[in-house]
Amino acid sequence: MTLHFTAVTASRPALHILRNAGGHAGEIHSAYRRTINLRFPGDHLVCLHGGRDLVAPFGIALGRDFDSPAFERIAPGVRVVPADGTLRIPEAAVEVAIGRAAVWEPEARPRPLGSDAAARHAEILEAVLLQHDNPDGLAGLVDGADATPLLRRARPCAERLQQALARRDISGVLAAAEPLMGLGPGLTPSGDDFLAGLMGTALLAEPPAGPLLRAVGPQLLRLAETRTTLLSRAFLAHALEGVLAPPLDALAATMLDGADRPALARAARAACTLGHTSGMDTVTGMVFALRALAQAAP
Amino acid sequence: MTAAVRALVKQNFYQDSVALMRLASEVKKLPGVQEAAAMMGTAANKIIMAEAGLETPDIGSAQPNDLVLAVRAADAAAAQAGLAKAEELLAARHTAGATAGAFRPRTLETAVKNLPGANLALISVPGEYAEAEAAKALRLGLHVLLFSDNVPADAERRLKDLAISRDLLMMGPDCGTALIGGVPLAFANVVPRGAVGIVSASGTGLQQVSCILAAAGEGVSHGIGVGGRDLSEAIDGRMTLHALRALGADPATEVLVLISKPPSPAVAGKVFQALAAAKKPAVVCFLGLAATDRPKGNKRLLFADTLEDAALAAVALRRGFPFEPRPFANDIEEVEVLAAGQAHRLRDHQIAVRGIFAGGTLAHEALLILGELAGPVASNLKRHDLTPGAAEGHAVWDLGADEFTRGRPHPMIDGTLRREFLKREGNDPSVAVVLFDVVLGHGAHSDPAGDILPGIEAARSAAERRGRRLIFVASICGTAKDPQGYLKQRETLDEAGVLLMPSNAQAVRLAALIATRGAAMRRLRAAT
Amino acid sequence: MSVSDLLATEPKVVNVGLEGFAETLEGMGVSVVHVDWRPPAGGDARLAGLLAKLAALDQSQ
Repeated sequence: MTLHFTAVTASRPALHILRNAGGHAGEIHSAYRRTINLRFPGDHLVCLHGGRDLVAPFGIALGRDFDSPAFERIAPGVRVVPADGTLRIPEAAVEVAIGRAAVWEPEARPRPLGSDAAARHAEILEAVLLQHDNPDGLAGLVDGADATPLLRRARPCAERLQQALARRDISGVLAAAEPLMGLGPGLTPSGDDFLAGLMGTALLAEPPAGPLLRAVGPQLLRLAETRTTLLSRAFLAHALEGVLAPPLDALAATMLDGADRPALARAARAACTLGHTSGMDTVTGMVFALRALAQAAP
Repeated sequence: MTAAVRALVKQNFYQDSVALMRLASEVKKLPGVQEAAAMMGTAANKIIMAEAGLETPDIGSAQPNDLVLAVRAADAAAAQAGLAKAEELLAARHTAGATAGAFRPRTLETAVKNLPGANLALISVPGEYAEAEAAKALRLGLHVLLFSDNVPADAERRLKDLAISRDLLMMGPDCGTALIGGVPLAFANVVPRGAVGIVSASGTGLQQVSCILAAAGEGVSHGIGVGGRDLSEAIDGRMTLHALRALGADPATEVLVLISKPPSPAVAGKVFQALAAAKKPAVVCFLGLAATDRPKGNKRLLFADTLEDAALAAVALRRGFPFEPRPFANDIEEVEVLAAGQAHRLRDHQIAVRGIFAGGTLAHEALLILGELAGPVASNLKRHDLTPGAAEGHAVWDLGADEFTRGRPHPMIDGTLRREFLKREGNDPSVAVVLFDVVLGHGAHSDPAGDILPGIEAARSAAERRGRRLIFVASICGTAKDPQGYLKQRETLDEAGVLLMPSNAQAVRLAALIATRGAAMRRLRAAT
Repeated sequence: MSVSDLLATEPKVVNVGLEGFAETLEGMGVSVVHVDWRPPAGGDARLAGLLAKLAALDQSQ
């Protein structure tokens, strides 16, 4: 007896991946309580998850939590077959209808951000992070307190990363980023979320630096292969194209479009609610990228 | 005994971060467990785990997509037990509820989300953060009791304007007491509910009035604190007026009592208007207001010179008989005899009354009454730089004042400073009577009488060593239902030879009578 | 809820600051939640001021 699911929302990048698989099967990479990650040729990840709102730029939201015995049959390695508008997992007798899902498109477009604006935006994001007052993750990086081992480890890297970014020092960026990979709690460790936020913002907000920063991308991804979860690596890969998870994408767009303070604060708050610390860690990365931009001459 | 580490690696496994963090903290609570972690097996996390003393071959070979559960404990058995617990928690299929032990939100917003129907914020953070927190609470639709002090007047104005615009109460700043719906908030006594509604700019003022009402068999509908500065020009009585309107409309309130220092003239006018508009019988106690400054012509508005009179006037209004203030509950002749007997034990040079108070308004009341009956009184209420020991003649100390509570607990909570002052007075040959207050209720010391007793005894022995007798006069501000046990408190003081009067005002009068060898009686009789 | 509503019902308290107050209320059977309050912005006055302004901006929407 086949279990049917209907996707509620699907991201454009996920749909691309499925289409580009060209009928070739993918496989279950990992199955967690609320998330099933599918790996397709080229190491492209599509993330099936519960709830209505997308948590990843390569995500497909199924509108309800997983909690079915069927999912015990979904193990790593099991085949996944994309066909017209559906995803089938034959061994688990599961079918996911995608054709009618609402499609999410990334909003943020690369646009130059002046150093004054960058400084102002950084302050607002900092304030929102501090309001949440979450001791977990890396949000504490913005205020100087080093209350946890995680923060103590991450701080020197984050600061060096900021300086390297400001100086366009590619090897400095790589050296400082490496210790952050895989660092911290979470299926997407905090350090990776931080990096995604930092790199994504750096690319979007300073288009002239794009080519330079893009050179970093492949090397970062290679490092990520062995240093962190596949899921994190997938987030980083999209961030290096300037694509972040929907609430963070919306925040980036708000920032680059020059929206007013209240709108920015609202968007930042929404982004911070993502995951337990994922959203906040990503926003923290954005803050450091903005600080690097603020260092440039106006 | 070397610590033992046990670990379990689950491949391609994960549970959400919150669950994992709860898991780790639950495991850490187990006996013998020193450290616990639940993290993905990335290189970076392995370094962190190693730094926490969590290192095993299994952990070493874990991959980034694997979940590592690790426990370090005093011995192998404890470590194994910890790991077993971790696995058990991991296997639990239901989502973690909000009731994992006591819920401790970190912000007001979260707290409100988790307490449906939350309607009041009791805020006692340091002064520099008070405005922000209070504003947050008001914007969330909560009434506020702002206990914090050191909040500037402009901040107070902003907060009160914000509150009024949303029809909320903003009690404070520096509001130590409130009674809302029969619930004592912050420092407050257990007072029966009843028909008297109180608006007070003073914490101990509210306490004294409500306690005397209780003793008289009446009760309080609500006691709304407005903060000491509300009736000043700067704040213009905003919250007092708001509170009076509310109590005027409150069906449970039949009589109003307003307690404060004398307001600025502009504000006074508005207050009297508001009282008239409330159309309920009312008592006004503006401590220190001269009789000549009272507005005339409103029969339903009674004026009281003391807190006790305010309470008794409210009782009279409730019961429909005329209010006649008297200096003492007992017959004045009886009191005269008592005072004379006490005075007889004094040396000629013992002429001073020294008041050592925990309650600011009680000290203020003492200052006023003593000044009227016994002559000039020195006080830190008048001169904040008055040095203990420098006072000659009568003196009244408010030990709850800022200059004495920096870095020190309030005297209502801790009697150390009061005991010091008592001892000092014992060494002063000019002291005849030592006067003090004992304040009961929630928030106060669990045994204020017992707490101050050593000070009384030290003062007494110091005086006796030099051939002097000291007389102690006090009042207890409390009710039969207060947690400290009113009767027990009375017993303690009785046994110590302290003369107890039913109210602060009466205690001050008795002290004055004794110290002036009865000369104050002329003034007392003149006043009635 | 308005003042008149508050006076007609019982207080349900959020306690921010001294924990003793919450303990006392709990002991009396009053509904109370204690906020594990820390100074915002790690004690940084500049950031704390910013937070307050942000809160004001946000909630006046």
